[in-house]
Amino acid sequence: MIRYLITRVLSVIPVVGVVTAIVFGLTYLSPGDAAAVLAGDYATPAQIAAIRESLHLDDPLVVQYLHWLKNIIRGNLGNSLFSKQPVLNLILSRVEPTIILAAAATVVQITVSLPLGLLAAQKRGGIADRLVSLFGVAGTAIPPFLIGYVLIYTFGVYYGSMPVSGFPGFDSGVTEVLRHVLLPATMLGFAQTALITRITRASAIEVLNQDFIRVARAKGLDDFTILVRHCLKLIAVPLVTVVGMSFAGMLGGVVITEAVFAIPGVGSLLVEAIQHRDVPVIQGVLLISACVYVMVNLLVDLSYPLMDPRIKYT
Amino acid sequence: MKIKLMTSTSRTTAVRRLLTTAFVGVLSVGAAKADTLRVIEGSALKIVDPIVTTSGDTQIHGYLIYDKLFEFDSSGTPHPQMADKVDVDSDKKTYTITLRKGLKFSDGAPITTDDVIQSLKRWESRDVVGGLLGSRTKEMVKVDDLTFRIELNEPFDVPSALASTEGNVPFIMPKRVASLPPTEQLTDTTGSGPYKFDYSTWKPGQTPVYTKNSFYTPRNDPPSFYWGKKEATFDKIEVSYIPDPNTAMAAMLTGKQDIWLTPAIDNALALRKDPKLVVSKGYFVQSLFVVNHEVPPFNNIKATEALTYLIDQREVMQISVGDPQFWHPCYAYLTCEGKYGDESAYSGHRGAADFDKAKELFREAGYDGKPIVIFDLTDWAEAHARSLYLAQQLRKIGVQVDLQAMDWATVTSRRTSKAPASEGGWNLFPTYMEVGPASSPITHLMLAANCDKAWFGWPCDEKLEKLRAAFASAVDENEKKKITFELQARASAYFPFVMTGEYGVPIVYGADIEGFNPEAPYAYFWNIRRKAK
Repeated sequence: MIRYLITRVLSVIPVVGVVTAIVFGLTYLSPGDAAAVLAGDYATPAQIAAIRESLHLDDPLVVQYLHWLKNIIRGNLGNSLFSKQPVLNLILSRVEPTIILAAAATVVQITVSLPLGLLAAQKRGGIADRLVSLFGVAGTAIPPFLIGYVLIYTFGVYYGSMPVSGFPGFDSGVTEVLRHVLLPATMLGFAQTALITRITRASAIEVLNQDFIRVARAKGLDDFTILVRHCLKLIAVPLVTVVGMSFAGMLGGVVITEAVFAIPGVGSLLVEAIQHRDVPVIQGVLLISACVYVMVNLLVDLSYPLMDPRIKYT
Repeated sequence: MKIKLMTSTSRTTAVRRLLTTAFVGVLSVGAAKADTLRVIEGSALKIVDPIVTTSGDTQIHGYLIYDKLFEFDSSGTPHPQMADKVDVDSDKKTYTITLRKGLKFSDGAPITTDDVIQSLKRWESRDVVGGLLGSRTKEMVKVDDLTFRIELNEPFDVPSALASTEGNVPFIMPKRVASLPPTEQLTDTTGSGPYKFDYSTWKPGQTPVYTKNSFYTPRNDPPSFYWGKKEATFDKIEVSYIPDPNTAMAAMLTGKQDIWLTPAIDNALALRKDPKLVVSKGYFVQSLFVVNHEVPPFNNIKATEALTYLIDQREVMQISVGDPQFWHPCYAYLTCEGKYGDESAYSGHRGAADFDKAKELFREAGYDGKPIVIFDLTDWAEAHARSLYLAQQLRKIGVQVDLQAMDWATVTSRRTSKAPASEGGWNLFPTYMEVGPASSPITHLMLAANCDKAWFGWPCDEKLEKLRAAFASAVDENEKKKITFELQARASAYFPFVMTGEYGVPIVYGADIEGFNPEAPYAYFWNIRRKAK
């Protein structure tokens, strides 16, 4: 197990190396001039050139990449071209809403999709199964932003009882945070809920058709006990994989949800940086997102033996 | 036993209650408004230094926390603001300016001429108008803590320059802050204006919150445009950024926000039906196409003139803006809104498109059939529509068009190229100028025709430059009007850019808000009150 763990952790290094090259290359290739954006319309070409020089934007690509890589190894992601603040600080200042949003969306996903998926599997072919399947298709097909608008109109405008934008932070109290997170988490969780419902249903149907379940039924166990005690354990591995990947993806910034609900998270930071060609911020967000994704993937892998004793890492 | 039947209405009510309780539940807490003004900005504040950037959100931030020596009233006349009085000698070359007594920064320190002189020097090193003043200044010297003198090489309208509301605004900062190089962003937001802002507790992305500056002493003059009494009437002002327009609409409809500064026209029109909201035309902009004078075919005036025969301003505005209340055609190079704009000076083509004449002019210009590159701004709906319109008009007369889709940030990079259009260069792109700067020959970016030193497109015309220089030296108002008439007449023969009309950028605000001026180029939030219910 320890050997496997070390191997997996070490395998992350080349992955991150490739990620740095791709992230740097993509941002370098994208058109746009941060110096021109920063200087504004009234700046002279000489002023723009001076800014470009001060930001080392004229250096050769390799020089810029090696300089960036050297700083990354030291834990320095550089400074924003616009706010001049360290990129790491900027990202950390935006992490709180994104983590809370991702966690809340995951709770929504699990609490809705698990019961629905198990119900559909249990009532396979019945009305409940068809309705759940319809939900699964609709949830995947309907764009999340549309769900967001419906939620905003219903609970923000029509009932007028929920905030439609912003994130107050924990200084304003847990209740206020939850009020601001409930609608975006529902929007964010909706599409993934549909997917996880379908996976739960398919996995549960497979398990429920196995002999040991028939034995359990023959012994007189009720449906609830069979589902929770026997079925759920066996479908945990694919579910944790999907939920884990979904959570990791959300940590990288939920761009559309944050835009619709004006939440100042990592996704918003990335969009603003792209609009202004704030290259260090773009690179920093992409790099950290990729690393978080890789790390969560690793944790999910390592959690398998805890859920299924048949899986052993040697 | 009594059985109570549920009617349709009571069922609906019950369902609504159930839904509200189930979803909203105990989380529902009424939003406390207190005396906070909530404003939606068009972009998130990133840079807090109004000298480092000309970005609108930064200048609005600047107007909240800084004051200026002079300000314009509603007639466009500059008046002393932080200044108490100004003495001008007879040859208009020496200005002696005295500050009001008792002025303090937001940290309680007194404002002296040391702070003022350093602030103006930093501004001059960055701003167009400031640069012009700087180039004509022999010396700027301190007389005492409240008085300083500006000595010029040649006459110049100093109060108008110091009241400038365009580009980088000449705000007054503490000397220690203004001593920073103009490219280095300040982090000390000690200000001289009616509100204060704590940079140390703010992170970019968070909603900037402004609180009353208790050390600010307003003038007693009745307010008029930017000038006069600037009273901090709200305890707190929050300027947030809501990127999604539908969410911003919802926030306005529910009263969770008070002012929306940059709604798209469609969103603004949709809100017009709500009696709780006021939809204003906002400030006007001069809509135009920037022309690259460096490369064919528009290095020949005839080709540029041909564009004026292809553009029917009414058509363009109808397509790109829509509701006629928000636009008007205009053939004045210094705008139809500004005091120097004069359509009678324009001798070019007006009205409906004349395709035969346009075709003839392109032929005379020696157009070789190569595609004309037009930047198509996909992140700016109004400009996108204008690009599509012009491309279609050009195609109608047989001109090849290469419509290149991109966002504005890409334009800021691509527009610097002087290469031929076929080698990564460009010919035309749509943009606008706010009527404020577009109303003056000094601040109109695209009217500067000083060749390589001119704005992108690099118009090059000696006559225009002479007239701009003459305007800069003119102090008498009648003389200025005479010069601007000649300048606009010359522009209509040289075509430094192509006008496509003028339109208002709407602003939406709550009907319970009074004292707000939606027509200011940079919104300001002093003297605003919430009507008593």
